[in-house]
Amino acid sequence: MTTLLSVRELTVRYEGLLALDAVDLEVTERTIAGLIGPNGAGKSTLIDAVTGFTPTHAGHVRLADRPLDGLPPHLRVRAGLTRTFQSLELFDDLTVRENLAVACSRPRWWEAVMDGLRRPPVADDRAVAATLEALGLADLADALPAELPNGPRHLVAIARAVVGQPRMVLLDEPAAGLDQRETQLLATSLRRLPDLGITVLLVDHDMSLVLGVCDTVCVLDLGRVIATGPPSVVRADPAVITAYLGTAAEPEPDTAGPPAAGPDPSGTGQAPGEDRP
Amino acid sequence: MIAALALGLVLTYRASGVVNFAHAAVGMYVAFAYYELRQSGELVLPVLGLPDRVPIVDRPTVLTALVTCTLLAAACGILIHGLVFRPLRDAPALGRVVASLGLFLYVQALVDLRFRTRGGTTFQIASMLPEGSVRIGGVVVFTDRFVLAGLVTAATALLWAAFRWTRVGLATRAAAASEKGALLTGLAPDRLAALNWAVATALGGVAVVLAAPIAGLDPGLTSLLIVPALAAALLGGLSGFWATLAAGLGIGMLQAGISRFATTADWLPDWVPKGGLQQGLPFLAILAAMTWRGSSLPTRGMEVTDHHQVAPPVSRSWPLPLVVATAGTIGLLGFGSEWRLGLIVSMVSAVLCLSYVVVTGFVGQISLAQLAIAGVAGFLTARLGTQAGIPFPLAPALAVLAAGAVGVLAGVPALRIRGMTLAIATLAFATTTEELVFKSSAFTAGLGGTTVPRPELFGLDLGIQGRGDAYPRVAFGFLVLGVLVALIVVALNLRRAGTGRRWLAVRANERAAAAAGIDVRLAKLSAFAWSAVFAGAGGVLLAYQRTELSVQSFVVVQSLALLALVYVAGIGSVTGALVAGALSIGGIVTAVLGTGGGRTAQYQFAVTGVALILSAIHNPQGLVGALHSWRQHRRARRRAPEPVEAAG
Repeated sequence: MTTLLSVRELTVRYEGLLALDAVDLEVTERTIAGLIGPNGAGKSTLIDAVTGFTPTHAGHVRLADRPLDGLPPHLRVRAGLTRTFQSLELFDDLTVRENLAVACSRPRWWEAVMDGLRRPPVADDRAVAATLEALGLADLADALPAELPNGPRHLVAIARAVVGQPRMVLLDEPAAGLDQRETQLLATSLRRLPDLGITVLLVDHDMSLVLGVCDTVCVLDLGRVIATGPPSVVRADPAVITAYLGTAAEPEPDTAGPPAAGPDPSGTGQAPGEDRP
Repeated sequence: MIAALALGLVLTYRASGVVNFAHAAVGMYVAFAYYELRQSGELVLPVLGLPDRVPIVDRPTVLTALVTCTLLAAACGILIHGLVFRPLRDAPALGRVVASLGLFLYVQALVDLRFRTRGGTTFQIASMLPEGSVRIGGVVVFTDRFVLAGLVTAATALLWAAFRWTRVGLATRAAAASEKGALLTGLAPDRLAALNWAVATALGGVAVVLAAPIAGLDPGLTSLLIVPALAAALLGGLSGFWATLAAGLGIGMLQAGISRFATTADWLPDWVPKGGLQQGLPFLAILAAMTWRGSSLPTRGMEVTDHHQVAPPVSRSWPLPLVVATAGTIGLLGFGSEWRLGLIVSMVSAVLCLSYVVVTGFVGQISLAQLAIAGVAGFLTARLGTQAGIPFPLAPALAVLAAGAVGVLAGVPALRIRGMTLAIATLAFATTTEELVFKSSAFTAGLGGTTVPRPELFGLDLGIQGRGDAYPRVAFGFLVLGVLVALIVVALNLRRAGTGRRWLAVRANERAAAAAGIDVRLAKLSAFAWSAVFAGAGGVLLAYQRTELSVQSFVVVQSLALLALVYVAGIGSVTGALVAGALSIGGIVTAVLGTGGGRTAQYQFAVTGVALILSAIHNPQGLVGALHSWRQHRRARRRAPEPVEAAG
């Protein structure tokens, strides 16, 4: 088992606010790693920094020994590192199929010139078809994103991130706003990704999802890593309980505690103080 | 004056989030009204359709006139807010830009129609400020300029104090921060915004009135003061009054300094346009500053998604060009002289409009520089043909390629700025090109004119010139038609290919596009390049059609009018460009409707302006977009008795 993504002492400041404070993170190839933490812990910032969407002030990011520091987002994508967004950000003017096709083509610059002068080539969409099939979206391929129910929309966002056969995908709260049935469907889809050769870093508030599908879990609080390890270990970590689950919570909450720690059937566990739009 | 106009812009922007391109134009109208009132005692009303003018008093004094016009300006501000920008509060950026362009065209046409201005100003403009000069540190400063600067500074101080300490100022700031919040606290955001508009317009109007003796009053130039004013407002971050004041005064002084330098420096070669230097150089600096301050991708939390007109999918490339070719052939062979000219004008406009469809419709980048790019190609064609003796098909081809390169240059700011700001930057680019390139004697034979050589291929005359009914010559018509059809095919190819998909992805969401591995910079630059090629082809055709070119051939105002037309017609599709071409001024629709008289163009500008505002409010999808939605709606109803599961 080799380390695929390696983050060393990553630091991000937003106008004086220390959003990430020398964060270390390693993700092993073909596993699912979880990243949790209360609101404002720096989870989305970490994704933004690793994928090149926000400038870093110190630290290094490597993907299988290839340094990614300073590369713009689209070149990190071509190096095999993709992401999704919390707000999905699908291309509303394109059909589901086109959303995926856009993401798996890797054109050279002169094609922007050639495309005006030749008949549009018939696109090779085997990768698109395979991904649609794998995520159960084949029937919806020609719909526009706005016409889809919530669950499939989330799956399209993931499909768009994995269609180009990346080595690693960073998922930013893929279960936000999904109901329990949709979340379970999502979990099934996620477990399939490592078998396809795709390593996953999953950020979510839904604890039953994170603890259920992840091989390792990393807990972030106020821009620092406070715990790392297998789900069972992290769940019992006193620092985690203090920071994330609230001091009052027991390691094994039965009724009143947050749904974080157990295999809670409600499935929509949210952190205390969370305010999701 | 720039500072005063910029302050008004900041004020309206803070009040309702609108950058009002028509601000200087409205100020100009107020100034015209003032001088007309001083001269004839009649107040000219701003609404076409109402009685032209109202007599106030026989010989108004300076004070009466000034007060009347301040009130008039304030009323205009309230009117503009209520009729145009309030309904557009939640509209996309492009819609608001288009509406303010519409207002600009309307006011411009209004001034041309109501005040007999062609051929020089007819007013005696007497200065109201003390004349004379003082020496400060060895530099001669004219008193009137000094007093004007003082007045603007006083206005700034007043605004700043009002915003800081009064209830209304506080409320405006609250409303700008959160309209709903302001509503909940019992404030009326609409009334506040109207008040701000009134103050801003009055300020702009009075500034133009007072500055007219210094800067002159010219319907072609005064309204374009909006460009430096916008620049100053932008440098002030669209919010700080003092920063805006400093930027405005700074730009004014820089221009004056360059002007003196240019007239005294003998070593400057002849081809450098002296007047242009004064206008052009500051913009280059501003463009650079704006570009440098932007960011290459929108950051998290920035408003990234905007509503766009639909860009209907295209399944086949051949039907539309075929229809156009057939219709064009029938028209060229069947029409008489007048209609044929209309058809040719329309086809040339359609080519220009295609360039907007590519850059604004497909990629969502608002560019106001397209006609300037067309001008570069047009002048180059003339230059290459007459001076370098390069024959017909080669000279225009080179010119079009050069236009493509210029387009890439115009697109550079778009890599880091977007939306309203980009629209302003491209406007600055267009003005700079106009001032520095078109006015340069090396490139365009200066302010005179340039004769465009007749296009000829294998001894076949493809020129437009002919005797009597032979003008415009059918052969030229076919040249235009050929270019149009070829470019339609190119545009449809682009739309259908991977490039078009990537463009739409960038238009929809830049961050997501980058996350999908799309090189956003490449997508934008390639779109600017392609659209410049289209604009260049249009410019070349325009040059051949006019046979003579002058600086007036490619003025910024026409660029605005064209963009507006395409928006009304539907900027998301090639068909939209064709419809816009048909509707263009002097085009086939005008020819068929058979309007005559020299004032038609002005009325058409005014009507276009109103149509623009109305369509930005009521039909943001454009004609073609609306048709497309209607068709899809009907198809969906016919196809699906059982609707797809709608919500999860």
